[in-house]
Amino acid sequence: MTPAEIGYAGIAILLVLILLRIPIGLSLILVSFSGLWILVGESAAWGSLGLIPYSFAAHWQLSSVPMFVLMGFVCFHAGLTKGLFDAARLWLAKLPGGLAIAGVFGATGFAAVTGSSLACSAAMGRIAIPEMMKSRYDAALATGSVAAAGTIGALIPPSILLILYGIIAQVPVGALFLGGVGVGVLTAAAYVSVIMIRVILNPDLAPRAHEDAGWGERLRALADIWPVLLLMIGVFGGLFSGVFTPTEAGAVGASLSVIIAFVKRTLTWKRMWDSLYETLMVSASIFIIAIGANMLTRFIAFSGSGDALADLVSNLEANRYVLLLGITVVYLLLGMFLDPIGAMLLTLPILLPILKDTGYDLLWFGVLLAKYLEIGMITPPIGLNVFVLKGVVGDKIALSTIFKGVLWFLLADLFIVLAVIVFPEIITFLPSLLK
Amino acid sequence: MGLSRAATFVGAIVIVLMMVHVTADVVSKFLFSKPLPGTIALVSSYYMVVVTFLCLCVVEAKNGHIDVELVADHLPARIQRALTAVALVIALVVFSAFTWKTLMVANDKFAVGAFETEQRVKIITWPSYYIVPIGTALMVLMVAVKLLGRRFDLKHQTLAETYERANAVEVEEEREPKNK
Amino acid sequence: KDLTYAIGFPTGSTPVTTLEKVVSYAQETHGLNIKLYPLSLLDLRQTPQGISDHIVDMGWATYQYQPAEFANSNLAAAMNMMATANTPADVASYAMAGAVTEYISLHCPECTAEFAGQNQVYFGGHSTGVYLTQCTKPVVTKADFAGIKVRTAAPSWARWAENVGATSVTISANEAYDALSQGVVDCVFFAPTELVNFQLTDVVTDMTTGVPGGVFPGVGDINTNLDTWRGMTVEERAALIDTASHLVAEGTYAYVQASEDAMDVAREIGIGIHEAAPDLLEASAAFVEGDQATIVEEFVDKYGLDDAGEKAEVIGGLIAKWKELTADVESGEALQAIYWDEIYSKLDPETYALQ
Ligand code: NA
Ligand code: NA
Repeated sequence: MTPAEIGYAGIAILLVLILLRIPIGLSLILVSFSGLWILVGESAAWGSLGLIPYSFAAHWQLSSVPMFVLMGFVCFHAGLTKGLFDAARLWLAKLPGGLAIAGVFGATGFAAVTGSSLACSAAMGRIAIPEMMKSRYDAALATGSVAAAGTIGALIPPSILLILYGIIAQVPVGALFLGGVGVGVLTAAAYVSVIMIRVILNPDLAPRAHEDAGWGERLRALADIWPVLLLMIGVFGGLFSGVFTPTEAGAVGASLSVIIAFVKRTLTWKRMWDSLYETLMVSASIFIIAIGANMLTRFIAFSGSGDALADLVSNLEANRYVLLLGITVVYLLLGMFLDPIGAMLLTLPILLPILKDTGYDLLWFGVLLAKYLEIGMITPPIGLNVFVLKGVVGDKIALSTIFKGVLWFLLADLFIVLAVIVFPEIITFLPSLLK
Repeated sequence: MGLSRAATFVGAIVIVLMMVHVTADVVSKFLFSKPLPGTIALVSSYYMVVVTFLCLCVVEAKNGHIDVELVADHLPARIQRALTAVALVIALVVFSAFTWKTLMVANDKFAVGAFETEQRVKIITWPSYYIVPIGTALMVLMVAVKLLGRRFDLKHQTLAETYERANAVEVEEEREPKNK
Repeated sequence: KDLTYAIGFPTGSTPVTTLEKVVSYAQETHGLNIKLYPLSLLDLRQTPQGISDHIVDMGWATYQYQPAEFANSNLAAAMNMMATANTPADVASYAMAGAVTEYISLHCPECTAEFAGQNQVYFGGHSTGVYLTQCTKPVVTKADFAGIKVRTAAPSWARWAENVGATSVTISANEAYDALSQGVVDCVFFAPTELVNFQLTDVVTDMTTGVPGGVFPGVGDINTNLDTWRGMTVEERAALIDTASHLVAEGTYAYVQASEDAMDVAREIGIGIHEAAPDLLEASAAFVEGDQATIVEEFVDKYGLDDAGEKAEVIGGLIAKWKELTADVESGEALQAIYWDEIYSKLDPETYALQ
């Protein structure tokens, strides 16, 4: 076998192991270790095992991941974002599908204080779904809109996906964050349009709300969004006015959320402990995969199969759109089955050399990648956001109903992907202002 | 298990430390133009290494390591249990090797007295290398306990389930006051 | 079988471009086959360890990241600000590479023992271009430095910054772009080449030459795994020594050229290039003079080198000697000839690092 063939064989075995439900991180470490042993020798295999895990983990920029995760969990458990939906509801109730639209607005606001889309759909699900059910909204529309709106959580900064991508692809995280804003806002706008169009065409989906809140009530509701506003101003104000770096922003955000929750008196010891515990779980399970993927990078590099693949792609002389179509299809397929972070960490070792060779803007691609992976959060059969909502609604609504409701938003997502490919400025405009 | 509880406790303290330490550094830089010495070295060499490795065993205890259920879920229960057993055996072998090698590395770092300098401060880093084999050894223990106890069931606790559970808890909490 | 070589820089960077040239030189002249692995295999921090674990046969070993393992070897690199004092920028780089390489391979048995202890052999190292101040506003006088925040990468630059009243902060090189663009720091101390490598051209508006000075020479350009070295024939070893002399000379020369090119780029895109004000230069010179004692003290206290004082004198002597030797160098070949005569011809392929 040539080294490149060993590389391909390694990837094939990796896929088999993963499909047999061997944990992704474990599969990655096993295949990379064995592959390096065969390709380079015993000492290289042991050497990598001794060197890479520590040096990957002992990483300053990576420290923002647990910190942003903690911030999201504290906001979630301490209910800091409750006011968001209420305010949006009072202001938007008159619109067709007003409660669903309020859910999208709420999710967009929550997105600014969490790095994960699961947190976003969980939080909005808990608050918005009961309201929509009370107003006799169509079950598919109610759950589908919130599951989809959750995906905005990892597009609008902070975003765990974008942080990991920035570190691996060596793209400034601050610039990626700004790039995510464009796609996040566009996604929110598209989802709002989907809701309005559907409800206008079929008013039965969402009966008009009868309650007509007075201006006083509306203004008072605005006052209840102060925790999120304060957090946003604190984190992004500080970040883009130069008080701290994107890495430090995570810790500052976590501290601020704890302080605000403490002042609001919604932070019990139990909730703080839950937030810490879940932060540890999330971080350890992500990082062990990242370590495995990092080892896989070395194995692929030694085998030369990544270069061979890159040569193949550039020899195809496929034009930009054909290559992107290929990448889009691959990620939509992967997204159907894989956890987004796993999918990203698995594919970047192979994909990045190809992207660099073919001269793509890595900033633009990183945000597009986040969008692809977020679409995977709501596609069947494994749609994590959908599962979270299923947890909220229990036995009252079938899983297939939620997936059915998501379908319309997936359609909108495909338009957004197309728009981002045809008009890269949607992503690159805001970061270019930094210069 | 007591050990994994202890690991969680240490991990939680380190998360808090990381948050407080980095925030204090930011505040001190902004208000007094005085960075706290050694922040980056401590965060990366100690806090991050603890967060990454120490709680692997806790994740394992909850079956929380990320995997792909797609194919396996449709197999007969007996085969699923067999696959879980295979996964545990692989984990036992890999994490034992991991522990042995990283212990050797830590011993080397101890022998030379590894340190880093940040700004003008010397930060001794060799102890941090021992965090890795401690974490992976706990993982080996957890896997061994599961194997010996023939715990091949898979009650997953993924992130999605974490949120579902949290939702359920909060809904109950909200109901409680009304019931009283 | 090819010798494998890892470097934590990407394809297209100054060091990798030089390496590609030297690899074909080694192939054509000596039939020595080296396969380069840029960036993806080992990063800059991992490479020394990767060589000792024999993940690769050789590599670009930034030993400055491992002060405990390479305490003696780091002393020479730590004295880099002496090289630039009252010296043209190009000569400073040529001289410092020569002085460090000569000191470690010929005058410091403790240094070669350190490398052997990490299962590898040292064959010299290049020097970067001279460090200067890259900012988002003009910082030209000593007063301008008061109260601003500067990203520094090594203790002596941190002391330099504090000495002129600035706050020195640690930020990883990858974050320099974010930090400058968002105003977390006002300035970074970098070699001119980093302006281009880290795309700081987008964010830097002003550069000040002459301060802080200093170069970065803390790299073994072609450190080789000890088992690999022992397994080579005498001819192969001789070929490797000759190749190393070309790499260190061409590498340093390329860095000097690339630094000048980077300054041209800066001028072209309209970055303001200022000369440091006389008061600043004066303060800087005084600092460098006084800092030598501090460096010795640091190496005694923190690195455990009891005889750092005597060793620093030897290094100081070598730096002075090399400034004269390289004062008129005009080409990479000329530099290689000097390095060969003074250093590499004295490395015996039958005995070097083999006892
Ligand atoms: Na977000
Ligand atoms: Na999916």
